[in-house]
Amino acid sequence: MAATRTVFLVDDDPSVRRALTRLIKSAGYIVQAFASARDFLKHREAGGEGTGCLVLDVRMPGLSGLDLQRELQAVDALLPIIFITGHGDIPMGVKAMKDGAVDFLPKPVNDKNLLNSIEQALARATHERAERQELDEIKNRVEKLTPREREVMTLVVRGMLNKQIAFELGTVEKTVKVHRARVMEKMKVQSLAELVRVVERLGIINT
Amino acid sequence: MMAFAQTKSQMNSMAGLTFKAVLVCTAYYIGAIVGFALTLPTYSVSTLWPPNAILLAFLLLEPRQRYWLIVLGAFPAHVAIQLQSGVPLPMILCWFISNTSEALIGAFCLRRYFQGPVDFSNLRCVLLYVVFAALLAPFLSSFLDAGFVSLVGWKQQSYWEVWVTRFPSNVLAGLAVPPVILIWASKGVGWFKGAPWRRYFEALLIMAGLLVVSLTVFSWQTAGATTTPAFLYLPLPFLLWAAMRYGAAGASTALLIVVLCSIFGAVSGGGPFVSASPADNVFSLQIFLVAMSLPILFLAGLVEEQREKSRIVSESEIRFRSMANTAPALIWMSGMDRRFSFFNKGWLDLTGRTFDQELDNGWIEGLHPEDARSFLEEYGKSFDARKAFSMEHRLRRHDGQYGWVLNNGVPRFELDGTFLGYIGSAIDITQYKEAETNLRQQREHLARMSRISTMGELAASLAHELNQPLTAILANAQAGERLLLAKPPDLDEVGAILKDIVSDNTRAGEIIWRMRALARKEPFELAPLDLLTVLEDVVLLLHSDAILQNVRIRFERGGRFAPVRGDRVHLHQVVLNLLLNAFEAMKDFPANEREVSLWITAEGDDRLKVGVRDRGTGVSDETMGRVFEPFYTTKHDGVGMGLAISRSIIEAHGGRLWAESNHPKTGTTFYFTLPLWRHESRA
Repeated sequence: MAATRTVFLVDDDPSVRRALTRLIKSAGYIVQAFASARDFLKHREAGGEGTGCLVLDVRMPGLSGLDLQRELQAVDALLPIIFITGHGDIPMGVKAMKDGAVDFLPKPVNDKNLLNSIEQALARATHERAERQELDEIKNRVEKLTPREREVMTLVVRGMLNKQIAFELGTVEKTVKVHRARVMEKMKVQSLAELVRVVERLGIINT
Repeated sequence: MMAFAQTKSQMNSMAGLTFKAVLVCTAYYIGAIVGFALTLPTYSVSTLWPPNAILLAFLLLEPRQRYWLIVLGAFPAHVAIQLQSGVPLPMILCWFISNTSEALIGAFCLRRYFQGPVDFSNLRCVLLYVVFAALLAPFLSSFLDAGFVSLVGWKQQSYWEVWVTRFPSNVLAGLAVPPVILIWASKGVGWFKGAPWRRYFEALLIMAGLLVVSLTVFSWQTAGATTTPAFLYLPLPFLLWAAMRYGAAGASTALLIVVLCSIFGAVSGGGPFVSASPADNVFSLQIFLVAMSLPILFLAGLVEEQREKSRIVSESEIRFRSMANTAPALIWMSGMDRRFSFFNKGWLDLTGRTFDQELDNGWIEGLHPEDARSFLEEYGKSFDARKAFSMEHRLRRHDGQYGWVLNNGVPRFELDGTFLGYIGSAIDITQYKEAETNLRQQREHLARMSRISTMGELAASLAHELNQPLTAILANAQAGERLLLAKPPDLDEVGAILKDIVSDNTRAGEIIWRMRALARKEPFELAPLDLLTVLEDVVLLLHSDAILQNVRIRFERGGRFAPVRGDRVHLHQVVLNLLLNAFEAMKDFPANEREVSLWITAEGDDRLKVGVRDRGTGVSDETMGRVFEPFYTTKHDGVGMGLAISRSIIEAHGGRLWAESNHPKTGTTFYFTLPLWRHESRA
């Protein structure tokens, strides 16, 4: 999977915005700049490019940087945030970090710090994205199972033998074997251990 | 006569009245004797008949109610003197009637038009006396007298013969005798007492000269064809001398001497009036004396009148000078030629210069060079318009320092409205001016302190405001470094970067400049000022603070306006205060409701009005009255000087600052007005 190279920049000050855009671009990233948090949200709602990381000014007229962070969390957007601020007060920084910010940088921002953070953020974004895709794939496979097959899989993962499963479901061992083979095939796993790992990631085991 | 004047107070008493009657009687009697003595030999009628004139003089000295007493007093003397000359009783009584009628006609007529003492000290008095007492009374009474003589058949004289001889004789007596009595009686001798000995000597000289000349001309000169007519004029210089130097008193006395000497000479057979028939002699002597008396009496009256006038003028002049010199003001006067003709002592004391140095336009040297032109212009303009003026200017004091005076000038006119020039008074207002200056300095100091403390409050947001361009500059520079490392480097982009760095640097510089302007110590100075730029400056300064406090500033720019008369730094302070107060008022409100509106409108045709409206908590009516008081504050960390200072600044501009509650919405609107520059008179 190709790494994301897009950086979203939100700052109300036009000259700061232009200068940071230049700096980030010069390091080889794609930059999309916005004058306000509201503008950025509109862009997302309109279905614009959504992967990458966000460089965000804390104090802005209207919706502030922290407000935007909250909104993005609410929609579970996979968008690591780097805050930049002219008022680097510590409590605000701590809160932002707790809420998942990648970094909290004081203005004027040094290029190395900023670009390091961006790199880190993008890596995190790429990683999170990959995980998300894998999970989606697994969910897809599960959805292809019949209800009987899902029941069989659940019991298999719990470590029950075919005979026990047949007894539990009120059927014969032979039928369970057929179901079990179908599950292994549909879930694209080769072994019982592999199946257990996949199902664990889904977190759908009801014990 | 001194005794007479002193006993005036006793006149009402019985003894006084009796004394008066006896005095009249005696004078009448003596007058008659003199009259007889002055009768030419071989001629029956006296050249000069004093009793009637004496009676007239006494009447004029008394109020009308007591005329009877005077007439009564004269009666015994009349009867006694006439009986001695063997006149029959009916004739005596008739003559008494005609004589008293003459005196009474004269007295009543004169008193009808003239009150006050008959002292011949003015032309009106002399004229009325001559017309009524000296001419009209003898004229009328002579008809009566001639009638009586014809009726009684005394000495077979014809009616007109009697009238013609009696009239001039009585006219002469009326001119020669009563003036002396009346003047000395009304003035007393007191006026002559205490005079320098030179005055006595001069009077004696005149009298002696007059006597010698009169006796020479009228007595010692042998009568006949050898007399020199021109000698008749010899007494004239002495009469004029007496009239000019001693007024009516001197003139009348001198006249009496000439009259008596001339008649005495003629009676004793000397002088120029003994050539023709007795009747002609008497008549020509009378005409000569009357002709000489009339102008001398008028001249004396005129002299006294002028002397009195000049005395009044010099008295008022002295009064004016003493008043002007003791007045606690600087007084000056100028004439029709605009030159300055008078400066009082107060003025000279202040400037430490002499009267002669200040005279004309000399004092202008002491006027401060910066004030001289405006003063002379104002003075010239007012002078041409004959209008009052009032000006403050500096004047050099005796210690060489300049002091401030308030100078008021008003045109002065004669009673008939003739313009005479200006009179002005100036007061020293140096102390007042200094106090004013101190007050202004203190106010400026306070205002500056308040600005600096405001700067402290704004420090955080101003730091942020400076941080923005610094952030941009750093990012741009580092981006530039990277671009230059690329192969090939994008030089166009590097050029754009450098341009941006320059503009960000300028922006940072402007912020620092505005901060420094607010903190600077500069004198309050009014100049033409674009109010819109003042508001823009402050809005820019508050840009970061507004973001920090989540306030939106709605600046409604409504086109351009004419410049106002203002001081930029101080007006910055006022707008800054009002905006910060508005921010503060909305602190506890939801962020999306925090909005301040700011606008300018024209107020009438000579001022602009600025409005600052917040949507905050508002101010209660009770508090509204107090927000402009010093040290009144509703903020927990405020000093309470902001609005008090703002108001004093606006008032120093000639404007007004006030607050109104918003209806129906919440919050407060502050307004201030400022006069436009073009209404400034100095512009």
